[in-house]
Amino acid sequence: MSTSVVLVIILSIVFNKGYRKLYQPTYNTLHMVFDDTISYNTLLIGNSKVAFGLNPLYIDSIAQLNAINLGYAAANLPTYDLLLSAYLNKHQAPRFLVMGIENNLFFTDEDHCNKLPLYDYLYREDVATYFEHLKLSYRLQRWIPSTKFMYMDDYSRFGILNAFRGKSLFQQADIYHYKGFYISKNDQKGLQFVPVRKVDTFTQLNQKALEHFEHIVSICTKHHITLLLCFPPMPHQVASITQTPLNLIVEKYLQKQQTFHPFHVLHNDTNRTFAPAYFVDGSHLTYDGSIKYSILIAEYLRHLNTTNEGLK
Amino acid sequence: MLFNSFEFLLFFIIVLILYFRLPKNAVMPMMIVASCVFYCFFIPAYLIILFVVILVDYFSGIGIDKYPAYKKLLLIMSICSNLGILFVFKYYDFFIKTSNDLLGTEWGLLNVILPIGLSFHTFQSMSYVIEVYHGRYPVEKNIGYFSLYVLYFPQLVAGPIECPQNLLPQFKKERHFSWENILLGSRLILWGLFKKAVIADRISFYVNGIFKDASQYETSQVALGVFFFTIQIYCDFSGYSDMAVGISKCFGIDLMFNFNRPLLASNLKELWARWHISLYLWFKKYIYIPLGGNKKGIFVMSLNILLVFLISGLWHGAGFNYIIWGFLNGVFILLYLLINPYLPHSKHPIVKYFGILLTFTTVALIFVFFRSENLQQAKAVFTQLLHPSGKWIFSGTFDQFAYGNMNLLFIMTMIVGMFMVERKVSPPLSFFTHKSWGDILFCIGLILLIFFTGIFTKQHFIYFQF
Repeated sequence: MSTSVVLVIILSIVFNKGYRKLYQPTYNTLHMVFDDTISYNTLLIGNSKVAFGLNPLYIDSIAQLNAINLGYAAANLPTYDLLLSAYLNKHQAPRFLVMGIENNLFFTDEDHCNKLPLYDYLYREDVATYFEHLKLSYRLQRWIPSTKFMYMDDYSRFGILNAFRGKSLFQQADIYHYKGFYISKNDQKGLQFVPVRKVDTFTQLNQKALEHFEHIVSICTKHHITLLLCFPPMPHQVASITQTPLNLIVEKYLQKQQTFHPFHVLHNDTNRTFAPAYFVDGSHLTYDGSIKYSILIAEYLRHLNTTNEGLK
Repeated sequence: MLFNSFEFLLFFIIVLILYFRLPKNAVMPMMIVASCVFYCFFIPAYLIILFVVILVDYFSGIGIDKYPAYKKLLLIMSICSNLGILFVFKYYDFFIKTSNDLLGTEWGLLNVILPIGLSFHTFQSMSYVIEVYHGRYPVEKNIGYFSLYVLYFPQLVAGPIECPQNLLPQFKKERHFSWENILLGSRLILWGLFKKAVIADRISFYVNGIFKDASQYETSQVALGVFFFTIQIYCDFSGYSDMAVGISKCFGIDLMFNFNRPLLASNLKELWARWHISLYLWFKKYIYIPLGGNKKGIFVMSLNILLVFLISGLWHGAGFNYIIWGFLNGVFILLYLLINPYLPHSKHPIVKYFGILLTFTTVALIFVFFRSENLQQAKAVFTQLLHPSGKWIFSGTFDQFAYGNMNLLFIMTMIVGMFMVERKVSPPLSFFTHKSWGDILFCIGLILLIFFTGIFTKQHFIYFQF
């Protein structure tokens, strides 16, 4: 019995080490938010489309800012809220917050999020509250860290599966990394055609997700942070069929919010769609695509930065 | 050591091999030594100034962290030391000369040679102390890393002026050899070298002749000289910046872009937001915004803009011509901001191109003060421009400095080609990311152009003097 317990503990430690390596960019993001004290005047918060899509180098150079990418692969609105609040606890408020959003983020609070890396920070009050607020178990994981793997979600399973198949981005040798932005430069062939997307089945906005979104907006108002919401770029073909009821619901909600709090929204309309060759899959960009997207956002930020709207 | 020299090529290859071959602990000291060697090719004794700057700002940072009660005092001391060094080496003689001329005093001059790139590394070092003071960057306790931050040779003598957030963490990350970085970096170096050796240095013969004695030339030739100088300084400085970014890229360290197609801007405000980006970011962050930026009404904003551009003029050099250059830029930007709301905002290409032409002409005329060694030279240029002689550019006088019409046509073709490439791909790192045959042919073409038409007479980069 005791031998098997020791074996399980050793295995879980090894497994956790491998997991941390696999999700190194996410752990780096958490390190920058929770432990680092370096402050930046522009935060890029979002999911994988921000983490692997927005290069701060272009934002800094074109918009004359000092940006950091805090993209967290498979993050949702509660996670954005946690990251922003935790960042502000230890850092100075930025002038700009660029937040990558998507329609489905407004319809769910606990799915579509990779929570495993966050379990390692359960000693923090705000992280524990995050789990509690989402009604997720965390007490056992606090005392026996390896038990977090019992709560693997689809994203974690998918990531680990890819790692075993040698397809994981972070196992590849030629990774470009700059201020939180990660991308593989090798073997990134753009799409020849766009795969058909799964139709979203959501019907109504999620109250908890909205609470977190409104909390983020109120934080921005309180700290005089200029908020820019960015829908990720999409391949031309997908963009032409995006006028779904889901879009209309989110757009209506955002418009309503804009009457209370001033924030900017960059839609992925026809002006901001890219050719399929810029995508590695239906929504993630290639290295060239990330340059194109970064320049697009940087140009918009430059406009904000040189007008009254953006100057603090 | 100049980037466009054979010695540098050898030096760079050796440092690159050492960087990836040495054990991890030896890399940082090696880079410091390499940067010192690089600097010693100019005036070795001036390394002492660099180390004074490093020591003052390193200990200021430590002091600010350790004694928060005295942090303001320490910041002031650090800024005064940096500006003091700048004043002694760059501005002392100018002020004494002015005082002697205007007030009749007879104070002696120091007659010291300006240390190369002094304004760049003092500003970069000050940036660190200010960031630590404001709590935006944690104090760097390792003096080695801090020394490398100030000394890092790709950007030591002419920027980009990096803030600690961008550069210091990159020195500490894992080294990772990548052919992709080497290829991308080499291509950027090629592009920068093309701008410097093929365009800037070739134009410089023409520009130097015109500015030496403008009265000898026809109006059209002087006008061309004025336009050419703007192109020359752009190609010279942006060429240097591209090479600096490219060299650093080979080490896997990203530097920010200093230029974003400034000469294709359709107004003066845009142009300065895209020219020498790192310096204007510095001024904006540490002078313009702390003074209130554009938040305290139009009067304060106007004063702030004028002040920033006056300081920018003075930063570039100790002379009335630089002050006038900075002041005029400030005035024209203010004029633009005041009349902009009443201008028709059409997106028609003709309106856009007219804006680009007008902006380019304005900035070229203002640059006359920048290029002139004194106000008499500037006056001579403007006198020729205001008294048209009616003769055409290709009227033969060019032969005086080996400037045949074919040469002129070649330069113009190269300039147009450069703008066409940069209009498509900018900032430069977005350039050459593909591995298509077209790109390979383009690179071969660049190498051939540099090899056969480049000027390699060890001409300094213009911005080194600042």
